[in-house]
Amino acid sequence: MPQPSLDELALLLMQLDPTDEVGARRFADAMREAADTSAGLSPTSIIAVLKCTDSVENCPAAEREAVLVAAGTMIEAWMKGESFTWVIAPPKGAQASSAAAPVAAAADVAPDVVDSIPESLPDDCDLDLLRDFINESREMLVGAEASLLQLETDPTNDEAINTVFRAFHTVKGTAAFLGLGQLSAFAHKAESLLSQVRDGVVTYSAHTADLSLQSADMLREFLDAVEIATDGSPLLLPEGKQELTRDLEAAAAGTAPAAQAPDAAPLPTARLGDILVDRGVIDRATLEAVHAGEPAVPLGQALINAHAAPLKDVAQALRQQSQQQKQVRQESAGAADSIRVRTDRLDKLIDMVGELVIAQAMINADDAVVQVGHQALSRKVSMAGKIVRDLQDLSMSMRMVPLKPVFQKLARLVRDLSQKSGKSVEFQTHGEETELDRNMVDAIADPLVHMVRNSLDHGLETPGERTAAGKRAAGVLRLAAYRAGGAVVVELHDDGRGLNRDKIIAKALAKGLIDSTKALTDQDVFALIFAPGFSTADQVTDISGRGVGMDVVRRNIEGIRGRIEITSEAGVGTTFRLRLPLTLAITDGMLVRVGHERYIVPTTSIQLSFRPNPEQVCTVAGRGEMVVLRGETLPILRLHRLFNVADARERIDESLLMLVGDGDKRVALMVDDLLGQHQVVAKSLGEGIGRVDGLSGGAILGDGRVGLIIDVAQLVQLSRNGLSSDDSPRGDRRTVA
Amino acid sequence: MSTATPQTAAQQEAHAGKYLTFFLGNEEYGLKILTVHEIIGMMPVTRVPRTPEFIRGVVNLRGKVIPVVDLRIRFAMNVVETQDVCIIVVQVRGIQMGIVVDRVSEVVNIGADEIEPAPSFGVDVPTDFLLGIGKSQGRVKMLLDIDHVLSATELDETATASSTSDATAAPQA
Repeated sequence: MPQPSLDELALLLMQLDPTDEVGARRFADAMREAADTSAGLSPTSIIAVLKCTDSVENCPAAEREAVLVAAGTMIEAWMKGESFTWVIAPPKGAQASSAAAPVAAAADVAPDVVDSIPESLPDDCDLDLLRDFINESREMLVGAEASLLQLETDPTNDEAINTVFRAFHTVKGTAAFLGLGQLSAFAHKAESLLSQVRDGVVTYSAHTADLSLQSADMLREFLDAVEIATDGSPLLLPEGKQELTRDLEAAAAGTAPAAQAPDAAPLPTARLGDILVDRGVIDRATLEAVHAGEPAVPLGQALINAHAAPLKDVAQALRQQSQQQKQVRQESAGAADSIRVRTDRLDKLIDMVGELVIAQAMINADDAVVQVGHQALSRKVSMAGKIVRDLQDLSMSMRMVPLKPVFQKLARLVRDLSQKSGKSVEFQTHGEETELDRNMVDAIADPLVHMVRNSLDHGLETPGERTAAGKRAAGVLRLAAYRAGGAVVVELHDDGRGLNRDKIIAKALAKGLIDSTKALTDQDVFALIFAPGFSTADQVTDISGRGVGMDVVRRNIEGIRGRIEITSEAGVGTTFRLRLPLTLAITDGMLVRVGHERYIVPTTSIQLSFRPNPEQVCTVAGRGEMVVLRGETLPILRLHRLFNVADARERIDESLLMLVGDGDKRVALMVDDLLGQHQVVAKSLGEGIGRVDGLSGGAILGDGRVGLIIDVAQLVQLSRNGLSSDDSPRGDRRTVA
Repeated sequence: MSTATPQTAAQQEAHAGKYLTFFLGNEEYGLKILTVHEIIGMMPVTRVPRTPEFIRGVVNLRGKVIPVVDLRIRFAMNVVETQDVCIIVVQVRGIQMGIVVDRVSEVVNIGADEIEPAPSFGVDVPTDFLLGIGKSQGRVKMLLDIDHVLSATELDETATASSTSDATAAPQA
């Protein structure tokens, strides 16, 4: 240990004037140098030195005295050769009630006085570490929020309080470690209130709930701010922090001795006695008596010995208990058994597995393998193929995540919105464990937020209106997710006033979205609310109607190859149904041939294909061709004309018709031939081309060429528009070019 | 060059450097070497309907689908398929695209003093996609502003539907 340098350090410290900025910097430099040159410092000590120098350099002059005292204590320990940590006494007036004070201590150096000054990120912080921290904290906050909502219905749920407490606590600790003093200090305040609740000093009231939820929001804003600041811009603190901090302090201190929490003992699983009492097998008095009689014997044994309860019931209760314990264990195990992988790596892996599948298919189709003579080779190839398929399945499942976080976010949204709008809403969720591709989950999150807003604002009536209509005052908003066939359905149902057909039509007429009301089915009318610029609300409220309409929702959903359906009944309610593909990556498709071109039609949109008889076909006005199938007339869509393929078959009775689309948008797509069913990895056509009407993307086919995937809904739309307004200018210009 | 667009020496300095040159017919063009990703042989191109005509289609570049532009069509020249035809894969603003050219020539270093501003021929012959004219080894090379040639806005401006007939032929459903 190079004593002289430490002695020098101590000397510097003694001479240092707390207001001398230059001197403070010199002292910090000397300290860093000492840490560099002295061997055998433990990691915690090095961290302590770094924190100390940071505080010395960056704390306001008024606080430096305390920091220097702490630095002195630290140097003393250093000189003795002991391991040391950076601990400083909290400044006057700060709360010191938390048990985790040592960790938080560094944070308390940054007091509220400097709130207005933008804090910059510590110079020496590790950006990767910081990003991990932001991601982890966000996840933890989502969990905390869910628990807070659980507390709404069950304020005595200790496990939930613990979860929230842990989340705040971890954010606080890690933030302090990373030198994010303000964030840490705030998390500490939020945590303190909860620790009071946990200790039974403060009861969990609506006010506490609000404060805690606001704290979670505030922490999230903090994280956003930190994320923005990672590129070097100053760290701007979220607004309203001071007010919230004050409220938190008041709540933690003010109502302190008011009430004693009824049941403070945290119980991860129910006790055997409780289960028996709940089941009505035994009453609590007898139970207590038996337990008191034989305190050393396990309760179950004691009960049977005393013939207080039948063996069968005790055994059942024991089974139930062990099951619960298993569940608790599983839940905690599930959380631990995962590892963080960057999404771009995962995407790359999935992409490459997709390539592997294609390459395998190419080998499989190779003449050398197909020939009869090479049985050993073909066996090996098929074995490799099996592994590749397993690998593909596995890689696909890696992207699948449950919808739960999205649902939780919405639960929070509903709570806030219902308070704001004065409508009381019961929010039910079903099937939140349903899994969907991560990209899809991200993609539907925003549309769902908008839909929930919309349902709450326009769908559900006020309590007064509801009672007048003979309904329960509290409206029900039900969000459900389930698998149906190869798709996932997400349903949002409200039991509100339903869509008003006449009002929609009137509005659409006024806005020029439609020009006549004749022959509009309910579906057609409801679909109008997705038209750009449409809003039925008479007044724009804070909740919805902020310019983003349902058209954005539909565009987003269709962007991920999903569909949106509405069913509604006046006075009973409205259901929005999102039908989404399981994953964006793989499409089950039918390869069709048109002339020398090949296209892929998604299997989900094909109902049947058939070769028509000439008498099935008729024309309208000499041009529009129709086919009659089982008494239904369907327009024929010649793919080769739409896509301008030169050498396709012209005669309908030599071609095949595929019944595609759904509802009233069904058409018979005319193709030359079906080439078989394929699983393809859907890819974009490259940003250079962008969106092409009627196509959803491309895929590499077995022979290595690119096949184009047809977007049936768009195709139908295209054929309907015919020479639509947005097509013709392009066509005109071509003659010039 | 009295009609030349004013171009400062600094711009010419910025355009100096290594260029990959290629032929379209008898005309020699140059592409900034930094934009060139790779050169691949001609491969089967899948035509994409309802796109401008100069987009030949898409190809499979080792599992990635990239669009391919035919410069001959883009510059309204006659389409002649030569023996040496190949695809130069360029990267413009992070987007990969292939361009079909008749023949790749060489890589040359063109200094600032060898670059002249693009001349103007009036509206019939647009030259705004040229960075300038390079003269090296006694030959004239047209230095392409590939960003401009392929950029999305340009695509929109000169966009042509694949055919007018396909729209009119659509059945009146």
